[in-house]
Amino acid sequence: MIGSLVRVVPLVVALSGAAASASAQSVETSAPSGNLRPTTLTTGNGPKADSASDIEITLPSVTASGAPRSYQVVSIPIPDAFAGSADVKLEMVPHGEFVVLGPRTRFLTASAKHRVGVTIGIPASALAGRLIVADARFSAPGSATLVVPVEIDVNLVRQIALRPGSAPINAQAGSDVIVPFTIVNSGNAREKVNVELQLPSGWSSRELRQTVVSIEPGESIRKRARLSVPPLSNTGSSFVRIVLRSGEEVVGDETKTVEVFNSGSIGRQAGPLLMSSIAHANDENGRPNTLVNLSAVGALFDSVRVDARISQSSALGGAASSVFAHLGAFQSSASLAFSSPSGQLNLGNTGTSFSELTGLYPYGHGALLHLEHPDWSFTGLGAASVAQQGDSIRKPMVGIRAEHRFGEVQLSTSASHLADTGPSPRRLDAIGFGAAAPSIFGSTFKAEIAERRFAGGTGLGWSSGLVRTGGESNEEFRVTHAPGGSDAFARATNEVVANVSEKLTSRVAMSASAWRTTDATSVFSGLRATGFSLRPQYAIRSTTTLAIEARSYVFDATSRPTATNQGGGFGNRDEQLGISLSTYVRQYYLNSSAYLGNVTRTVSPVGQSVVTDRSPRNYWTTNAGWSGVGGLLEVQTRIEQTRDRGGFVNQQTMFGIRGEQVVLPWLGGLRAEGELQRVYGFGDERAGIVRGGFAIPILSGVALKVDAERNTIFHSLSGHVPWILGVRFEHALSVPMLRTPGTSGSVYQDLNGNQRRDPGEPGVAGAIVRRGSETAVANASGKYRVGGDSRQPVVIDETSLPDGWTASGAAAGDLSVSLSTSSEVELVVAPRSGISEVQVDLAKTHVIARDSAGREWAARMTGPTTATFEALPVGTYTLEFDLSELTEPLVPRAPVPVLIVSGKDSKSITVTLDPRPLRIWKGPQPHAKEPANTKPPAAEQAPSPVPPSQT
Amino acid sequence: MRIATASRVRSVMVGVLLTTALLTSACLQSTSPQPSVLQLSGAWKYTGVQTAPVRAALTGTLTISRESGSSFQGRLDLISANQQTGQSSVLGGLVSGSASGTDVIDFDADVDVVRRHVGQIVADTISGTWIGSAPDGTMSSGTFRVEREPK
Repeated sequence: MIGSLVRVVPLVVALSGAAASASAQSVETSAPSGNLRPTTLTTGNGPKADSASDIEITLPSVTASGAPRSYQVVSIPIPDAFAGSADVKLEMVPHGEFVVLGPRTRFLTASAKHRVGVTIGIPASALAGRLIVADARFSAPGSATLVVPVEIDVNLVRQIALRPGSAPINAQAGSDVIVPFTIVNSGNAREKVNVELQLPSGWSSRELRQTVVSIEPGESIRKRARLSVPPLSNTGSSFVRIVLRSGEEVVGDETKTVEVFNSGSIGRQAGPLLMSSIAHANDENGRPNTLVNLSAVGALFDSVRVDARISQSSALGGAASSVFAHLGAFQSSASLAFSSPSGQLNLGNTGTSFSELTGLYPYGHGALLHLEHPDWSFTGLGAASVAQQGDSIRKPMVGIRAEHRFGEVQLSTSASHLADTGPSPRRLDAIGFGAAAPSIFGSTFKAEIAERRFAGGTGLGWSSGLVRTGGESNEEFRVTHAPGGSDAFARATNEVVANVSEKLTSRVAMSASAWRTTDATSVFSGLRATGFSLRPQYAIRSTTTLAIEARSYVFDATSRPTATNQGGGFGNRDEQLGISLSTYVRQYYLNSSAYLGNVTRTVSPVGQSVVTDRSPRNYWTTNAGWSGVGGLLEVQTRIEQTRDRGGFVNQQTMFGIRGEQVVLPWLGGLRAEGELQRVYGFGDERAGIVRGGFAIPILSGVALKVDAERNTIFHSLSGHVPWILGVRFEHALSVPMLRTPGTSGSVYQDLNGNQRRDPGEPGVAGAIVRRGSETAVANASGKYRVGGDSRQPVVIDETSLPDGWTASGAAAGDLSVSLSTSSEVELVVAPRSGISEVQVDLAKTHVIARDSAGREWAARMTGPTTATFEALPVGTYTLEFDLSELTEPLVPRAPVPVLIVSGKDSKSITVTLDPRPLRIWKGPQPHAKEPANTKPPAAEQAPSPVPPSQT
Repeated sequence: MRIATASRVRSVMVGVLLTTALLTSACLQSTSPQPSVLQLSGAWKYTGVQTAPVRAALTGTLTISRESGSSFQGRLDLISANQQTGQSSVLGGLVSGSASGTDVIDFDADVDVVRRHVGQIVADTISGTWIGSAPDGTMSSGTFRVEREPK
């Protein structure tokens, strides 16, 4: 515009360079080429003196640099054309949001220097780069106006902010979820950023993995990342990380929590697993063996589980039994068990232990019931003993045990009637009482007495022990006397046991044990055993332990005579000293132990002299291997030596290699297992095992397992060692639970505050409910289903509710939310009738609102006469007042209005407080003849503004 | 300094282990075999019961393969069937024993643990009792009977 007005006139303006330095606060300015270049302007008609001032000549600019939100002093050279001129006018014209501090117009005197300083304010919004921020217009009467542009090189400021949405994000497993976020460029230059999402395992992005976003200064861009939540995600919190990068630099980083709900994780599909299988193998003599197994194991509903097993087989030969075990098929008696946290019911093959005195390990066919409660427990068994081979006789096994906790003391009682059959039949009738109580040094003292009646007599049994269990230190000392011993369902007749395990320092630990038992059975008229072990160990590193162990065990037995055996005594004393090393590095491990020792044997046949011999017994065993997700591979060696009485050395050397669950990548990830073992005995003794097996999935839930073994243990009648081949077909099917687990209900808006869901009250979609660690999200109609311990309450996560809404109650699984709003109660103190105004401080007034369910909300005094309920759910409340702490007796005037909260708008009501009626005590009359300590005279009732019924 | 010490300790431990292993495998030497006085060589059918700590039926084969004087060596292979659960397990190991007195046979069978067997031999049958003692003090016991299998 200016340029169009300028008529170019011939004018020679010599502008001398004046590169004066700026002051300390000023910025060094520069002109192109260092000095202002001479500029020649020419007009077509020649100069006119009166119009010279209309001519504008733009000179080269001066440049400074500065950051946004700063002030810069720019030194502007005065054009030489005005050097020495009087009345030179300088007018500063700022551009845009740039400001010029000080007067915009000033006059320069002749004595002015060659430069003039101007302070320019750079706004916060100034974009990076060179900008013309102002014009310095020099003019003088009769002269053209010379314009010097002032240019600022605004520094680059990079500031990218990432703002995730504040609302909670809820997602269903198997569906998509949208994660919103906003990118804000608070800097002063255009930025290009890469948006990178770091997702939980299995999640994927449908739209955005890494996108380049160009964002202008001051601009905000809203983005939405649509993510796919895998169907098998667990219920709970998952985390999505959003990273903004500019090149390699991370300019923004936020993590957003997504609450995932997987109805399938607590759904009916997680029911019992039905497994059926049939296995077949020929034994070492070629006889066919078949084993059929059926089982159902898993949850029936909620925390109730079932474990049912039954098997049917032909008589299993040794080799077939071994192969079946490798195939995972075991023969077992029929059993059915239901279990839950509060109890267990076993039917079929079952057993338990009542106590050390009233029966250990009775086992039979029948029923076992166990009930568990925090304060008590009960166990009852009713069964028949297992029939022995070639014998159909069964004996009854019944018993009960009850425990009850009284504070820190636990009392117990048990009674039993137990018997079984076989070559060494057992029998016991017992009743016992026991107690356990805290004792010294954090230990627990246990004691029990029981009357025991057994096959050979009766006796009073007793047992006591001191047990302390800690993280790194454990001690146990136990003494038991059980007449009848192991033939009467006890461990032994007399038993003393001490076990100690102590961590002495961070690297040194010590464990020791000692025991002594005596017993008498139908096989042994006397059986005595003693022993000890001492094992200090040192942790060389956190993964490497070195231990030394000394141990000794001795037994002496006296056999009862039988029809084919005269009986007699024999004993053993074994003493060993050894060292062992255990270490692992990542997935590799090594365990090695070497023991040197000797064994002393005695034999004392009836009527003959005692024979004693002592010989060495040494062994060294090592196993090393690798264990990982790809399976397990292990190498084993074992060398054992002993010398017999005749001088022979029995040396057995075993080398082996075995693999379990080894993945075969070239066979489509098939898993295999195998074993190769060679045993070298003395002389010609050789034994070996060669075995291999595969598990081949055929169809969904159907698999074939194959195992082949050649084991020198199994040889035919002719002495041939055959290959034993076994196959097993199995089918697995997961069936639904009987009932969908968890608790269901609705989250709804309780619009009238009656704590019930009425018609028209909508559900709250997206509300998060929690029970313990379980989380659920309400669907569009507000319905939810959440798992977890049914004894824990279901609560609403109020952060998932819209603003102003709060949880207000629960009934039969339905959770109500209400719009909460503040409500005020304005208190007005009425003047006392006939007396002046009552002055009372209401600060200690307590105002309580009670809802229809009887719950209380307390108000806070927010003003001299104002009580405020900060957040009161929708509903109708009756108000109650506690005025007992006031300095004046006041009562609320009846009827006290009810407080009705109906919506988002705050509510205010007024309640009048009346002074209590005055009771004026006249005091004793001086002339009265009544004794001074008689009751005070009745007060006269003052006139009251409150009706008598309200006083 | 600590690293050097740890390294030295490791070296010493490896040396100790190797030495122990060598000593263990080399310290015993057999004496010369003597003529047998028992004539036990051959296969014997083993049957027995375990009475403690749990009831189990034992069946298997005792093979005597070498004799010297009153001593013998061989192998015992067993199937142990738990009479309560019905599950079976396979046990096998070396046997080393001798005769004591006139008719007492005493041998160790190193199966799951060393089981000491002491019985009386009458013709081709040995019957008696056995006790197994584990290093942790756990004891098992029972009766056994072995009969020579026909050749």
